[in-house]
Formats: sequence, structure tokens, C-alpha cells
Amino acid sequence: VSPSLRRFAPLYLMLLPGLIYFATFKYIPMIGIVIAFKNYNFLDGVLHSPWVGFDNFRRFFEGIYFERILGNTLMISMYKLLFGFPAPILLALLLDQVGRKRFKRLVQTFTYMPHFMSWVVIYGILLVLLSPGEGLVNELFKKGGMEPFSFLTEPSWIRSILVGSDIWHGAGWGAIIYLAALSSIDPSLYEAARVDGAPLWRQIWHVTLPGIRNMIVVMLIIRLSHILDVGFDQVLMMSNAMNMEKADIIDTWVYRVGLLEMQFSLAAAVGLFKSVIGLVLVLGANKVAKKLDSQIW
Amino acid sequence: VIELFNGQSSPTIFEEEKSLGGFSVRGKQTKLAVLSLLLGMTAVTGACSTKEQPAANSPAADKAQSKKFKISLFNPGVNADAPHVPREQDPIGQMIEKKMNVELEMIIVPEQAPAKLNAMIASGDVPDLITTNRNDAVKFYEQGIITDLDSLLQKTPALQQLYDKARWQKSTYKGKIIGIPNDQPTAGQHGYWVRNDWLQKLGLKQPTTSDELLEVMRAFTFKDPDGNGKNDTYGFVGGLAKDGTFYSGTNQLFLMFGVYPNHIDVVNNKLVYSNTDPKMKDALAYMKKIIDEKLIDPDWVTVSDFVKTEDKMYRGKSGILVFDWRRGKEPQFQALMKAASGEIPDWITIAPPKGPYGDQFVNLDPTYSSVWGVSKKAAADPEKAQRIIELLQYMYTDKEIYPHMSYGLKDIMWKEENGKIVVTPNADAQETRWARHWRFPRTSDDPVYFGANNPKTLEYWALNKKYSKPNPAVPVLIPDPSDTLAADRIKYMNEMLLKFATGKEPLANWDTYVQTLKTKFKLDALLDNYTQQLKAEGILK
Repeated sequence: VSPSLRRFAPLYLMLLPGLIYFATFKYIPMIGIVIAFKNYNFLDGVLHSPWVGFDNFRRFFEGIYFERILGNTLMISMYKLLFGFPAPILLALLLDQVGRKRFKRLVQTFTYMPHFMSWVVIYGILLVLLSPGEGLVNELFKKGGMEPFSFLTEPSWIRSILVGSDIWHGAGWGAIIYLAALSSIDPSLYEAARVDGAPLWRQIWHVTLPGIRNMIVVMLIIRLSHILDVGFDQVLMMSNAMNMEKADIIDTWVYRVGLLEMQFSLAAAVGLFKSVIGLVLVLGANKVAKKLDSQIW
Repeated sequence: VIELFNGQSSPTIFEEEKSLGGFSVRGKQTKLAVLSLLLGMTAVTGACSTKEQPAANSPAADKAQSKKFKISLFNPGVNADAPHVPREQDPIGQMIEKKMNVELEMIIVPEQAPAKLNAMIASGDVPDLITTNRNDAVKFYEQGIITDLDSLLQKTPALQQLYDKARWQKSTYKGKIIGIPNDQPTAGQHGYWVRNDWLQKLGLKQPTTSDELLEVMRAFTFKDPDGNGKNDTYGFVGGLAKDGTFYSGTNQLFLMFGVYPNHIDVVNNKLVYSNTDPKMKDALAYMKKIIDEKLIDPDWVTVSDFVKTEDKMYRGKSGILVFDWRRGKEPQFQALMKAASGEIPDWITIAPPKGPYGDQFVNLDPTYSSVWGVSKKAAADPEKAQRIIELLQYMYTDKEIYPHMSYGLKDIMWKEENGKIVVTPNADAQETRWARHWRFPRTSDDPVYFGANNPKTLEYWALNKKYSKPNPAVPVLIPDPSDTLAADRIKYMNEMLLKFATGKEPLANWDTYVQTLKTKFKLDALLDNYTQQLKAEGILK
């Protein structure tokens, strides 16, 4: 036994539960990936179902709706990245500038509360607000002499609704981690900046943002690994037959074809495809981050 | 009919009574609920302890000493939106458990039950008894998830004799019985409801043809039938299911043209697929008129479940809808109308208007496709398999348990008066709705269950039943397991029919649509498969 092992034995011991957790819940289940290359049926089980090579992948790529669902997934994902990712940072910066503690806490509580609402509830709220007939917004439209508009069924609106409600749902919660990072910035840096005569936006630019830069990069890398996950629950809840052409994503297709039709192999193949894309992006992003010296590993 | 393809959001089963009052008030009366539950428990347990004399031929007679089995039941009965109470608070379940020496686990899934079931199966956690339909049962059987039941049923003659050959035939696949009839669907659930007070106010006749129906819709929309001086009424309200199928009224309008979305029919010894039938084009043109002229409540696109339709009826802003036969005249629903709109409109059911080809229907014949599947895993233990079948036999044939299961909690939801069973006004109360999960054995002609406070209700029901469209093909057809395009095809058709109806796709493109179905979505192969199945069943000669 090496001296270092003996010396740090308690620390290694503490590491053990974590390792066991990842092995049991993350690594062992990966064996199930083999069904992506099989025609899985319940009778034969994971081990004895027949091998089909890349047939499941081919079915996905050659599917009639492949282009549509991939396009929608990427577009919604991009919008969420573009508008959704900076939102919590912005919120955290704004909250950071609030001097009155009570007010700050109140705002913070209100902004992260939506995180605890399920999409069913949020869609219910949207229905009450945006229904074409008796929705609040349309009632106001009618009062103002405008034509009512069916926001929830219009294909051109669904992505805005998805991204908007996602920001409302997650920005407050996402801001917490940035607020924690902000509080770790050395106050003497601000003092020095003020002494040098830096106005507020200069302080933010030269002190605050560099202070949380690492956190932003880490969050971005993690985010990129989910590039093809654009919120299945949300889309399933908010999309309907009328706006499906702009809202049908990979996950909703897998739900219809894989889960409801019991083609688990196909679902597994698509899941594997998504993970590989995510992995490639994470590796690439980390490489770029290394140049900024804020890589994860 | 959607269930033919994958059983998703099948609005044809159980919809009659899914949630009788809307869930807006749920949770406010928890205290009352608990109290009444406690009262109910003492009442029912008291009642059954006095009756505890084992009948001579009771299957339970020798159960007491035998092994106790745990049996799970997946999503039976109605009102899945009401969560089931814990075992200790469920006197009906306790009665059955005691009698059969079992421990019952009720798994109730309010939404997307097929997906939830498939997820359970995929994780190896297969429920012992599964409420499903014939198509899914075939899928489950092919996958080795459920077992065939012929040999088991031989030991439960009472259950076997409960249904005739024809009924068993409907749950037979490859010569084996793979499901036990679960819940009896009711014919004539829906009817055309029209606001008679509006008809009279505007001096209109009851519509008898599709054109007259359109005229009445126009008058109801533009002639201010409620006399409030505002343009706030509509001729019609229907719905649209989540997957894009016409639903809750909009679908029944198609029947005036002899077609029905996603339906497969046999006409003159030929298979007719509604979605490509030229008559479908006429039906869509008719729908388009209703939508273009804004005769339909614009909220119809978000009316995707029973509760939302119900709510629309109670608000009374739309003068015509196709809905449950009990809604218009029964006092408990009239009370809800009063609460929602402040008035009780004079809703009447009329015979369905006749279409341009003389079609006059308001419902499709029910399919009798609801079955119990028995998990193969559970059946691996012969003793347990036996108990499961005996449990079903007991639940479906025992006279004593019948009222408890079918009508709910004794002395709360029903009571005995002079030896006769009467359903109390509380039968529909929110807090005891979970008891309806046990309702599956109720027969579709039960005069107590389907009783009415207003004789008009029964009259309307009889009227609706008269206009059922025969449904020869759908109940026997099973999906082709090698049809990998099924989900994409149904999606495409739903989307296109909707686009035609809403005008996003001009009807002039109808032929392109049919052509795309044939080339890209291989429709002909599917229809050939169906034709062969129908020939094998002797439905096509």
C-alpha cells in the first residue's frame, strides 16, 4: 500500500459512495444501450433479442419527418440558448445591483417560484391568458376593437411561447448559481475600480463579468451537452396539431413512434444519437474553454 | 377509432362519465371528504360484517387458509382523474381483498395511460391485470407481456359463461383468448344538444338536414339569441384532441356525410377508408364553412378533453353541441349550469340532421374492445394465475359485490330503500369519485346505474341509440406489426384533415394529399392488409 493511499484513506473512503452511485446508476445501465442495435422485444429480453446493426438509426435518419423534427429541435434549442442562456445572468446582475435587502429577497423569491410549477400548470395559465375565445388577452383585444388572435395554435407563435415560457420558468432559478458566484467577488476590486473613477457599467464590465466568467463558461458547456434536449414535457404540453409543424421535436417523435408503439430499440437509438452529439459538443466546447483557461477538466 | 392505431388518447372509451363536474373545485373540500370517507367506511364495513355468511358456491369459501397474493390492477373503471385512496380507506377494495384473500394495488393514471403503461413494461414492472384494448392486447401478447387464458378460464366456468361466443371471439387472437372483457361500452352516448330557448326566440325550426343545421348555427351566431345586445354567442362548439383528431362534437359532424376521421368502413362489400373517401372532402368543406364563418366557438382548438367541453356547455354561449345524453336535463348538471352562467337553458336533444347523401347518424356503434390482459410474469405462478382469474370471476359475477363496485360507497353513493337500490344525489360528489375506479363490472343496461331523475334523459338516450352507425370493420382489425410508418402516417392525416378544415391547405389539393398517402406513406399496403383481415373474418366476401 502506497504511503499516499494510507495517508488519504479517509478521503478515498468518502469518495467511495459517489463512485458506487455513478457505477450503479450511470455506468451499469449503459449496458442497455445494446438494444439500440437490436430489435428489442420483451419476450427475448435485452440479451436475446436479435441484432439488427444500424437499422434503428437508419429508420430514424430516413424517417419521413426526420428533417422537420431535427430542424425544429435545433431552432428551438438555438433560441433557448440565445435568449434563455443570458437571461439568468442578466437577472443575477440586476439583482446584484439592488441595495435594499428585503426588496432583493422578495424579487428573488418571486422570480424563482415558477421553477416549482409543472408545465401542466403553466399551460393552464397560458390557456386562461391566451385562449382565442375567452382568454384574457383576447378579451382585452376585443375591448380595444382588435381582432382576437389564436396565439396557442399559430405555428409562427409557438416557438416564442416555448422560449418565453421557458425563460419565465427557469431564469430565477438559474440566477441563484450566478448570484452565489457574484457574492464571491472580492469587494476590494470594486473599491479599487471606484477609486479609479469607473462608472457602474465599467465596474460590471471589468470586475463583475470577469469574476463570474468561469461560472458562465462551465454553465455553457453543461448546457451544450443538452443541445438536442429542448424540454420534452414542455413541448408535449404546449404543442398541438395546429402548430406541430413548428414544434414537433425529436423527443415528441420518439414518444409517438418509440414509446406509444413500443419500439424501444428505436427510442434507444435516438437517445444514443442525441448523447453522442452532446458529448462531441462538450468535448469541443471544453477545448475552446481551455484557451480562456476556464475549462471543466 | 384512433385506438385502432395505437390507443393513444382514445376518446371513445369511458368518456361518457370522465369527470362529471369539472375539477375546478377539487381540494376545497378535503375535510369534508375525509369525514365522509370515515363515515362511509364504518357504514360499509358495518354493513358487510353483518352479511358475512359464506355462500355455498362462493369461490371464497376455501380462500381463507390459502396463500395471500398481491395483485395490481392497471387503470380500470372511470374517472382516472380522481386519485385512488390508500388501501386502508377503500372499503370496496377491502371487501374484495377479504373475500379473495388478496392484496390489491390500484394503479390509476389520469393522463397518457398507454405511455405510462409502456414505460412500466419497459422497466420490467408489469402490472398483473392490465386494462387495455384489443389492439394493444395483441401487441402485448406478441411481445410476450400478457398470457393466453384458455386453460385458466376452464376453471372459472361462471366467468366463461358470462359472455357469449361472439364476445369472446372479440378478444381472441391466433385462436387463443388473450383478454377478458373488461368494461361494457354504452351505445348512444352522444346526441345533438340544441338550445330550444334560442330556437324559439329566433322563431326557428329544429334543423333536420345539414344545410338547416348550418342555417341555425348562423342565426345563433349573428342574431343575438341571448338578447344581450352583444355579438358573443356561437352556433356550435366542439373540440380537437391533443393528437389532432376532431373530437367532442366536431368528429360527429362528419357522420352526416357518412364518413368519420380515421374510420374504416365496409360499404357494398368493399373496404372504405374515410380519410381518402371523396365524401370526406365534402365533410371537410362543411367544416371549413363553420370555421370560416366563425360559427364555432374559437376555443374549440383548445377544447381537448371532456371537462373542457362540459364547461362550454354549462356556460351556454354556444347553442349547439354533440355531447353526453345526461347533461341537459339531469338536475345535478343543471345546477352546474346555474353556477356557471346563472341560468338553466332549455337544452333539448334532437335527431341528428340528415346529410346530403341521406346519412343520419350521431354515434358509431361501440367496439367492445376493452379487455383485461393478464401479465405473463404473474401467470408464471399457476396458483397466482388461478387467483387472478377467480378474482375477475368474483368481481364480475358475484351478486353481493356488484352494487358496491358498480354504484360505489354504500349509504353515501347509493342506499337500499325497501329492498330496492337507489342512487343518492351524492353519487357524483367530487370526494368519492375515486370509488368509480371499481365500476368496471357494471352492465351497460343496468337501470340503476343508468337511471335518470328526468324521464326526458332516458328518452334522449333512446333517440341517440337509434342513430348509431354500424361499425363492422374496426372491432376486428388489428394493426400490422410490420407497419413502421403507422405513427407518422396518422400524424400526417390528422394534420392534413385539420389543414383542409381550417383552410391552411386548399381543398383543391385533395388529390395530392391522397397521392402522398399512397406513395410516401404506403397506404395501399395497409389497406390490403386490412382487406385480407376482413376476408379472413368473413366480413368481406
